[in-house]
Amino acid sequence: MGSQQFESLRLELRRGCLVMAVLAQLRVEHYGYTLKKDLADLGMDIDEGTLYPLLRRLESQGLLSSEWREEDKRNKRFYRLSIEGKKVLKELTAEWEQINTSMNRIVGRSRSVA
Amino acid sequence: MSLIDRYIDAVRRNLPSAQRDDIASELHEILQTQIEEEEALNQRPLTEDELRGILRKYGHPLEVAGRYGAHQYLIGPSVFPAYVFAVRVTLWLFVPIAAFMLILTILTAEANMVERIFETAWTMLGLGLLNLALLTLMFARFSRTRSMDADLKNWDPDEDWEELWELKSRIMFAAAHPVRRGDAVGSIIGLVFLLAWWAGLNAELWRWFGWDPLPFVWAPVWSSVSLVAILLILASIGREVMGLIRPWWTMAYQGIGVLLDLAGLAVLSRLLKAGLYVVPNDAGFPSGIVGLVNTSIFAFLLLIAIGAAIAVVFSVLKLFARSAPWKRASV
Repeated sequence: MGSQQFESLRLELRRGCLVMAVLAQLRVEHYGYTLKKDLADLGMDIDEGTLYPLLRRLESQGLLSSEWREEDKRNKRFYRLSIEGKKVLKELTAEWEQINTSMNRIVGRSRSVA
Repeated sequence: MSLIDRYIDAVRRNLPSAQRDDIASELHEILQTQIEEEEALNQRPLTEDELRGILRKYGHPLEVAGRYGAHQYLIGPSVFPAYVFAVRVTLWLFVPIAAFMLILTILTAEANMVERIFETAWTMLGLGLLNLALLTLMFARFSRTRSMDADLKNWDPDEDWEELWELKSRIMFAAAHPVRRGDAVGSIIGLVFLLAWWAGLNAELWRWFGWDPLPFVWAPVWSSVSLVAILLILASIGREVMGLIRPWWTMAYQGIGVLLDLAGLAVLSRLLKAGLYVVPNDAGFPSGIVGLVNTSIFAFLLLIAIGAAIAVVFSVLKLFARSAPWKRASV
């Protein structure tokens, strides 16, 4: 398999996880830079070009709310999970756990067959 | 203007207008934070080259703006198959018409045959491209204003998938369905407006607004077809009223449509042969402008004639398409 093909599959696999990671991290209010930094520290690196449009999209879907506020003498846009977002995150977490359990079983079985 | 400001301005120009300022402000904040981080790390201000590096890493302004664009396609995936189908139908009908026009040119050209052939081929190519461009614009508009999600959800498992987008199948679909009331009302409004225009409404409006009279008058060819045109418009209004009151009378609706389209084509052919549509009031008026107006009217009439010819072909096919496969399946 070519590295380009692997990269494309990897990005596809990560896409849904990123949404969940961002929602989970925004249970506590963040602005873009600290959110990116925290996610990177937790092993989920995401570039700005992906993160900011994603934040906009989630906000337009009503899952996040945001406000401009001054901090360190500069205006920053702070994001946090909305009430709807909390509900969706809860459902996504349950779904994630179910998928994770299934995948562990599936991948575990294929490993043992191999 | 600094490098960063120029970059943000370039992104801003390509952002969706409703969010333009907000996204640009946030982008400014993102880049500024990155720059400060780098400066803190290096313990010195960044050089122009280092700033360029940050911007290059962030992406081309068009690419960055594209990530924020909610609508990044001209024709959406749910409308695209219908678009491809429409393009195929247009080409299906247009290519034989173009070939016919070329043959006609070869048969009728008395002198400068090569020049005339090129002229016809060029005109037909232009009209073909114009048709495709209009079709694309129409579907792009359609794609933005209407989602086909509802159509895609209300599907019938008995549908004949292999023929879904085949010409025959689509025509049968149209023939098996009643006249849409909305379409009939729209056509009546359009036809009444056309009738009013033909009866001199435009001249009245012109006077009412107090504008200077146009420097030219209509050529005699218009008055020679005026009575027939008015009768045809009135008959078309009658047909649409019938479609409105009796939407299931599709055979009569299509049949009258064919007759009216054929009569319309006869009127159009009379007009196309004339070639002269306006004459200047003043003999000193630049002949180049008069020629341009006449050519534009000719091109417009030719376009209508092609549309009418396509409508005739469709109406005839609909007349002969007696049964639709899904109609049979649902019985």
